[in-house]
Amino acid sequence: MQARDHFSTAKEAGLMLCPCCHSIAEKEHDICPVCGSNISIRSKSSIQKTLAWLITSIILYIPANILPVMTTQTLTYDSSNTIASGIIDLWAHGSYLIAAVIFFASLIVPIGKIVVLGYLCLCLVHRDSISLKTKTRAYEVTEALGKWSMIDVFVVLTLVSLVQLGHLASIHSNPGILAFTGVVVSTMMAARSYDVRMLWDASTETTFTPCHPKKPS
Amino acid sequence: MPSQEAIVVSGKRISLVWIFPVLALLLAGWMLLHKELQKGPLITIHLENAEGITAGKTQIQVRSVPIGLVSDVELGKDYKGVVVKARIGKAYSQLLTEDSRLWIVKPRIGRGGISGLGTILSGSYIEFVPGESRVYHYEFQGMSAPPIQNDDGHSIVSLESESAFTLNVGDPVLFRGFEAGRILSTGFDPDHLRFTYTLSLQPQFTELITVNTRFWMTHAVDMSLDSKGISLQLASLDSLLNGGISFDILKPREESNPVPLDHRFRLYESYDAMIRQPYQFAAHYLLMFDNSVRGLNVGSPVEYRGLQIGSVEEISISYIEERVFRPAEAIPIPVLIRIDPGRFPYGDTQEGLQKLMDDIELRVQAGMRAKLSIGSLLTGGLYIDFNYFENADPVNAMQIVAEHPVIPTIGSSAGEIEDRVLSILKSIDQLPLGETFSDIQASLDQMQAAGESVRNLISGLEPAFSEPSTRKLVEAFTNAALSMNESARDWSKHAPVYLQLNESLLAVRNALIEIEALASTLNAKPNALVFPTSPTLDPEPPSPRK
Repeated sequence: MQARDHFSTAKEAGLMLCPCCHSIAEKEHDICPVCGSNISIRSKSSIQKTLAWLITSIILYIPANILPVMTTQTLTYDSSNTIASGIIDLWAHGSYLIAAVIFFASLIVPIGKIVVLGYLCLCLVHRDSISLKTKTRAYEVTEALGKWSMIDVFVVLTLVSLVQLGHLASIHSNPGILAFTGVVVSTMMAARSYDVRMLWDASTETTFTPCHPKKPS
Repeated sequence: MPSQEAIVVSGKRISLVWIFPVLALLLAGWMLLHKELQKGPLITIHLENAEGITAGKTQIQVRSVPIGLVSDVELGKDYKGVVVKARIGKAYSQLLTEDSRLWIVKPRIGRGGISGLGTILSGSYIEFVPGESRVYHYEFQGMSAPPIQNDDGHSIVSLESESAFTLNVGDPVLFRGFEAGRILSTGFDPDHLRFTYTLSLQPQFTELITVNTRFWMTHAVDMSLDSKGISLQLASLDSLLNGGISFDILKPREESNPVPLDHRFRLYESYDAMIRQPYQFAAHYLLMFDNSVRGLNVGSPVEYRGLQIGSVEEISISYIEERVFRPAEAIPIPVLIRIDPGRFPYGDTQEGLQKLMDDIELRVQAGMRAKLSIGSLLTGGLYIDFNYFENADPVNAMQIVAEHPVIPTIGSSAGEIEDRVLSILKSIDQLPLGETFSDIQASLDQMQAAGESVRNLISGLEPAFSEPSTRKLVEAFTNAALSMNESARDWSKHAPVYLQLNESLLAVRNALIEIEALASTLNAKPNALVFPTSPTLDPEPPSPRK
């Protein structure tokens, strides 16, 4: 909080960061003078993209959890599991750790990401009382955890490619995993599209409105 | 500032990224719709128990192709039975006809062999056999045991038997030892008190099923002891373990007629029983005998002039109506016989039976009568003989007693027969065989004694012959001995012992010849002792086709 009293943003300083080569350019440029990438003060239509990806992930989340992700065929049984039933099966078989990991990575993380990103988008429009630091931390955690949701996809892919023992045991993937991959990818895309710097603008507006007039000068 | 505003405006453009939610919506919608469309109908199966059935795991299979999955298993109403709900694949929904059959496939070691071994590891599944009907149905009654698959072209044959045999569904049906089919079902017909069996026969045996086909129980081990020795017959290993039904045809195929569809064959208890009584239809008649029927048994032959035409079914006083049954009078003994149309040219059919009965009525009016005759002198076994008697009382219509027509009988006192037989046996017994044999023995003893004395004499003379000084004497003795020899021969020839022996032997021989003649006469005509042997009297029966 106090830090923000002393530091202004790059936007306020008329500078922008090239997302590609991380060089700093004047805001008059459209193209990074170093690497030639398109640059702008803030990501263009960041909220729009984030929201689009978020909606995509929400839509895909439904089939991802309803449809089976994997069919296990062994001599003794033949079963199709959805993500939830797979977790229940693992738990019932005593693999509590794996069940917990998959539960966390496949169910909680995507939902958490969607909720957090949705909230962060909301923050840009509506003011709230949560501190900027917390929100930034939440965004960082979300982005960092996002890729771990792919663990379930990798589990399925690994099993499908490894367990092909003909009649003894074989595992096939089902459409559900495709939808789930879509969920993970679209939440990651949503997180990437979200320009966290917009939080600063928003918080600057909320917190530092009294100070604002002196900055543009 | 204006340039910044321009940027803001451009940012409000609808981004291309919105294509992803649209795509996702389409994809998710299609996925869910596809799943919903593929769902197919939900069927309900009622089972006795749900052994090996797991919701979400147990499949419904048709010829080992999974067509559905059990979605729910619960107890039925009033906790009786089990209700299994299963989702059938959309593509297979037209298989769900009302006459479909379902049962749980699990490992079974039964009489029909070992089945369902694969389910030891894979778990049970529900086998579904679609029916022929076009009426769709979504509620089924599961079967407790797998039916024998009745494939196309197999013919169905019904059997019945009076007593239950150890037969089970799936037991083999053999034609001369070759497996021709299996038992489809067993049951009981309370109306006729018969056990019923349904067989399924392979198509190539269909033509063998005619009125001449006979079915009998296969006995795994058939051992018989007769004059030829012991014979042991073993059936196939399968039927050795299980038993089963065998069938064969009685007559060559060209004579046989196909059976009506609802024809029920009789199942004989054994091959021998079938051979004894291979005919299905029989005309039943009641015979009233005034004399003793001792020696007449169930199964005793009924003959017409020595040719078997039927057999005795039952000997029972119960056929006599109560009003006839008066203690003061001698009551006749009713004997129920069967006459088989199959033994006549009429054929073993219902029409043949009718023809035979008409024919017998005509013949009875023409003077045909039944008579008890001796079948075997040794056992005293009787049989029933049909013949024509001129002096028979004329009969216009056959009397009916206890629903059976009565064929009149001709009296032949069984007591008389017995007496005659006994007297013959007695006279044989009285032949002086014992005396003769003791005479022969005595003669032989005497002969032996004479021979002995001669030998003693000769051995006493021997030392005298050996001395050279008595050579002359030897010659003289030789001469004497020769003459003695001659005299001895003469003596033996005309000895009274020898004469007596000769006579005795001749007597024995004559006696034996007489007995032989008697025996052969009796053999040829057992009633020769009772009736005069003069070859006359029997009128020729009128030819059936004049």
